[in-house]
Amino acid sequence: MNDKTKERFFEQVYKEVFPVVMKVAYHITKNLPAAEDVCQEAFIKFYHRPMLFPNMEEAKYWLIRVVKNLGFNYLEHEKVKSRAFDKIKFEPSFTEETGEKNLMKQETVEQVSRALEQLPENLRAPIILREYGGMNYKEISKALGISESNVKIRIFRGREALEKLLPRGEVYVP
Amino acid sequence: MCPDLEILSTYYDDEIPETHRKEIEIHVSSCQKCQKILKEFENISGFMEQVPEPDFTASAGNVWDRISDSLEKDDVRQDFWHRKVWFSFPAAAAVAAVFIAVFSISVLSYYIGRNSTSAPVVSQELNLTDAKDYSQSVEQLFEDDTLDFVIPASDSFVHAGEPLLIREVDFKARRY
Amino acid sequence: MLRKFAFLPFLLLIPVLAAYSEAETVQSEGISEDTSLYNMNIGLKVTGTESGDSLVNSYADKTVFSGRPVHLNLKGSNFKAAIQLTLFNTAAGGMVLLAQSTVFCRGDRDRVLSTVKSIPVNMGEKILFFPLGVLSAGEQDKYECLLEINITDHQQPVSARP
Repeated sequence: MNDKTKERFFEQVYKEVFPVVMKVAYHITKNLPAAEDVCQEAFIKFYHRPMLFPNMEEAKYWLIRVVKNLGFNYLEHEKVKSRAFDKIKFEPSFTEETGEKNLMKQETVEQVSRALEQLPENLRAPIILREYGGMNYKEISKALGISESNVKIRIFRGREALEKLLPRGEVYVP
Repeated sequence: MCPDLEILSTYYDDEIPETHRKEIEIHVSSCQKCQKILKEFENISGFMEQVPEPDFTASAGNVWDRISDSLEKDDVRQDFWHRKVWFSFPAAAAVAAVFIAVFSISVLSYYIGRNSTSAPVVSQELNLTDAKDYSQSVEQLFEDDTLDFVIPASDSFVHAGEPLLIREVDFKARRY
Repeated sequence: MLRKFAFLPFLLLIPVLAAYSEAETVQSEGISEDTSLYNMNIGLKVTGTESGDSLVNSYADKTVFSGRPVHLNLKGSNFKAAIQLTLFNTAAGGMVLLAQSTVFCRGDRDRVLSTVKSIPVNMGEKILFFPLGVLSAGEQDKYECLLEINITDHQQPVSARP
């Protein structure tokens, strides 16, 4: 296998796949530097594979799977480091709005984050891929290595669990 | 008849096969209960969307730079390793001899260990000695129950060589 | 085929050099006759070498007396390993962990390998034990089996893992 071909393919994949894996990594780790590290590690592993993937799609699914695993590993190590799981790491610099509206928004967002974090990994991953990765069931099943019917069930169970954990009776106002 | 909640969830995700989608759509359009459930799904998606995201465009560049730095370092290392293997055959033979010696001592100490009753292994390699005897009452507190771990069926295990016992920090340093 | 064999002695070099340096460190310390109580937290992790998929991730806490082995049996569909982990106190006030393993592996050739490895340890320091060795980087579709060992005071075991 030609080095040049490998490099060209790598660059193509990076350009196409980085946005989605970065998004997924961020929503799992909730930490920008950690998300960057996770993506970096995943792409380096990808580069070192002795064989190329048959196409861009397969490469994408593989990278998503690795990023998801690395992301959850990061969380596990964080948990062990800080025994009590108290504060959610949020970076307030992203909310530009000020005032009461901002306060209300922050509260709901924190509730969502907390609720998501309480989901076990097998329920959290599919719903993150669906809502943040914009992936359909088939793509999610390929990325996670589970059957489509499993994806369907887990997304539903994830929603069920979140619904119980989120504030009741509050309708989302865009 | 209202469809299963799970089916509604699938319908919400637009993943219902076309043959059944129409039926469900018709039902939902006139069913308050189902509409409420779909609204709840919308709630959840909405709340999740509200979680702020940093701008990732800078990250794309940063990560790319770090990847190319890291790959460059690796290439240097690879060349280095190749040199070691292909140009120092006499050294390799000497180390292989040591390996055989270490291996036989290990096997020997294993058999010594097997024959003793409760005490740990006497190993010539390591200069350890038997621990002293314990009183019986103390022994009874700690049974020799074995931890059994069963690994799900997979023939993807391969014997890669001698076992490795190493500090996690040292292992992580080795990899990069 | 030939290229595969050419690499084999190369692969063997790595664990031998590592083992040699570990053994040397221990030889310089004497083993104390003091016995004490510890908590040994053992985690078994089986992960896909590339994807990082976690096949097994289980932990167990064992209260141990130094000098007394903890026995573990690992059973996979193509291998079996009998492992004994023993902690010792050294005269200098430190600790040494001894890992004894007998591994039976089925494959193109059925193999048995029995080894004894030791390493000085500190409380709270995570030690890794790879009973089947470490796969070289880039091995596709393989699973790596490892034990994570952490020694703590027996009064305060490591908190339950997720």
